[in-house]
Amino acid sequence: MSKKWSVGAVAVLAALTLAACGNSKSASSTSSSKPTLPLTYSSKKSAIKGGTLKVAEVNTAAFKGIWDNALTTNAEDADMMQFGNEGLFATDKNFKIVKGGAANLTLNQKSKTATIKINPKVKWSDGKPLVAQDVAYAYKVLANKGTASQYYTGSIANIKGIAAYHAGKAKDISGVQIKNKRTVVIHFKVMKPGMKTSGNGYFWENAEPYHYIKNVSFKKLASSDQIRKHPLFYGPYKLSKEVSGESVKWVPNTYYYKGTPKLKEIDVQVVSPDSIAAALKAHKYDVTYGLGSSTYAKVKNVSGYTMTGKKALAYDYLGFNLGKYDAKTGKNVMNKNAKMANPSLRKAIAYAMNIDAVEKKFSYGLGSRMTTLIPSAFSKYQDKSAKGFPLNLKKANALLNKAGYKKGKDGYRTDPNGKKLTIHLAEMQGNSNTQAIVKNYIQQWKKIGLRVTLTNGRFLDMNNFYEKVQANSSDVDMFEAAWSLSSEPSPMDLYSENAPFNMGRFVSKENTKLLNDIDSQKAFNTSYRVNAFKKWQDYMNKEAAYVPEIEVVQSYAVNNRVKNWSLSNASKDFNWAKVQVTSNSLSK
Amino acid sequence: MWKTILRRIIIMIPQIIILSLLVFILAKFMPGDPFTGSITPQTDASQLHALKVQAGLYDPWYTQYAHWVVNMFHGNFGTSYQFKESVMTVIGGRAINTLWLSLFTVILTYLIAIPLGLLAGRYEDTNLDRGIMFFNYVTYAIPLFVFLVLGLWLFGYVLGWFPSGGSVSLSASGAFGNILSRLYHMILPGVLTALLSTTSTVQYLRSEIVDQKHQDMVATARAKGVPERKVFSRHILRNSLLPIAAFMGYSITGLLGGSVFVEQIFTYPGMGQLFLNSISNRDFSVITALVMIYGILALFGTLLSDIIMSIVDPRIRIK
Repeated sequence: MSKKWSVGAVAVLAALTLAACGNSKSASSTSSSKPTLPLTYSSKKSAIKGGTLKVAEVNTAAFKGIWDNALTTNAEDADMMQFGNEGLFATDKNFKIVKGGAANLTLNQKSKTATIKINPKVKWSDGKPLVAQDVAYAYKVLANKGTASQYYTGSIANIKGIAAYHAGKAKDISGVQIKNKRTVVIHFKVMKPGMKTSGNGYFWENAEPYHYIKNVSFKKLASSDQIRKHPLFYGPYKLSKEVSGESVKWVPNTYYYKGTPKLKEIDVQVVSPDSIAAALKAHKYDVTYGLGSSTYAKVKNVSGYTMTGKKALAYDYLGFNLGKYDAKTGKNVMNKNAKMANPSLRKAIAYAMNIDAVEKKFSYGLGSRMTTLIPSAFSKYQDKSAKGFPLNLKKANALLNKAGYKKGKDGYRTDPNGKKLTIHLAEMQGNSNTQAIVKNYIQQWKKIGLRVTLTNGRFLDMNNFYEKVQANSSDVDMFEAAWSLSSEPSPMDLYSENAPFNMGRFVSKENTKLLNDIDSQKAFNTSYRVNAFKKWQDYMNKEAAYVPEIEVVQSYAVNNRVKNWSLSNASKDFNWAKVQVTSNSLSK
Repeated sequence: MWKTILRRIIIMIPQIIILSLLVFILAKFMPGDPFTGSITPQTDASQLHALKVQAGLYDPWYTQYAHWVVNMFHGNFGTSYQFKESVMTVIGGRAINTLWLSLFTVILTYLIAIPLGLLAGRYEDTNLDRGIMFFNYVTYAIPLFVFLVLGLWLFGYVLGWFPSGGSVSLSASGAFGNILSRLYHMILPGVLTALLSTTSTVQYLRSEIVDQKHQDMVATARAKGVPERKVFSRHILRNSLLPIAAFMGYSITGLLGGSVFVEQIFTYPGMGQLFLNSISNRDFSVITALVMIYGILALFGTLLSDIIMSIVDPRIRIK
């Protein structure tokens, strides 16, 4: 299913995505006894002809209904339009772009180009064929200042001539060349190994129906009827009706290039997290999106349903305030005298955290402790031999003793200069679990003699939190935050010297070297890249630059009348056209 | 009276100006901005900066304020950052939903509360009165969201009598079908909310009637031999309605307020939910527009209440 961009934004401690940031779906807390939820489900009974699939989008926020990949920025819209919104390229289970999608991709390292060849069978839902112009126009939608798209980034600016177009200095993008009716060639300044993977951000993986929207000005595009009311898709289903903010009806796109979809209709409805458990018990929906882990615990045994799940492309981490971001040079600058600059202190803090116990108690078996800064959803690149920071108070104490943090009479340690040490922890508002978990960690740190207090003495609102953390405010020494990731695993955007989102401002020559190696030309060789990833993960753990905390399995309830349901990352094997039901009423 | 109303409306102008200043400045004081919530690892900080510049978020506040006021006079409240549509379109869609539901609820509330209050007052200290008072205590004690979830679970899911959420069915077609579907969707949230909102009206009405029953003029009327029915409808009822009339104006303008609880539990996209989400997403243009609308409505609500009072009680003259 759709995974071309990192939906979601910043969740924290996963569980907290209530109203504050309704756009993150990694919601759930977490445990060490990982349940093995299946990735797929298919009823054994024979399918009926047609049928209506009922989908619940569990959310407190209404979706926005911006039916365009380049213009929408919220996860709800992506969930609601996945039935018609198909990416250009097919992927395997490691998110690698493979042949067999709406278009095929060929990279050429020598000529620094990507050639996109469109499958001639692909048609928009109005019957017009998908052509090169549609692929090329998407870059204009993305880069034109009129659309104010957030997807115009430094990575996409690696395409030749796109910066000039963005600045209004050129009428066309010189690096996006239409070769013939169904072929587009993209010219890059530099080739990156990440280009082999979907979600890389170096080129766009969607098309825009040029014939349909060419007369709409870029500025008005996001609010136009062509995008909001009657959008075109080339995926299996097309939008037939929308009740603003609450539900959407999809009907088959009879022109779909992989064969006519089997269902008669797909109804998607926004359902409140307060009532989804009751709704499933009453058998109102076939499939749920955005089920939180506390709801998972309530519904996992409801008759008629099978729980499926997949590892979320997201994680929670603990960061340390180590410096500042210099906006002028665009670089992070580390302060050697920062309170948290001593790696022994950071490691001790990490070893004192009883993450496994917390996960066991609060995640209903869906979460687990992360051992490196690469989540295990990237099974190929994650270092499976890494141990991370398992609970070890003895080690933590020894580290602090050795580094000169002496214990005073009150049981708290002073800094190596003998001054009182108080560490300010910035925390985002969450649910009741978040409060219990944070209190628990503060107690753990007390056990090794560290005095940790909350910044401002309370949990911060999401906006307030990020304003403080991003500005490296002096009342923040460490912070707990989270990331939702795209399917290309390069950590460059989050941890490099030039990354504004490296909010701890950890910088070192070694880090820069290791990161550059991951994205180097040599890393086009996959095994070389895997090795480079391993080295970087080891280094980051050695420095305890950030403490990887938790990753979760996102759960999805599926009714037993559903056939051919899959959560696989391999879009080459799955599309919504294959999904069927085996009876007219839901299984009880 | 028309003169007075006109004068009151003129006084509102400086009030609205002060309100707009407060609203705007306070909104800008909030930490964060509309883009904070949509940061992903792929987001480009420099592009975000450029977008903020483009949106004028770095201009001094008085420039932004002036811009906002000028646009407002042209009926343009700006573009919503999260919806990427004009604020009036976004609010318009929600306002209609909320208006329907609130109107339905308010009418139901009065339909339930007024007879109950009248009966309780008239038959003071009987079992009927005690029954009504018991009902009143119960509805006063139950938190709205508990009642809503319970009602939804029982009537929406277990019995399946009513739809479990939304404002209109996806399969509704035609104007008539749409209206029927909307009504059907409003019954459960409307009735549940109305039941819990009756408390104050019942209580006020009852105590006023009990009060009036012991007035000299009622005793006089009775002594003159006026039939009990007439005493009740002419002498007692009209006076007892005063406190209710005092709230009527607010009720009418409050129709657009919306309730976060109802909207959240019934996934009914209305003004309350929009307001809350706009605040957490720092959608400045929507926040300021909504607060302005609420503020102006509140001002008119006061005026309307005064006017209604003077109609109900000729002794009151607004000046």
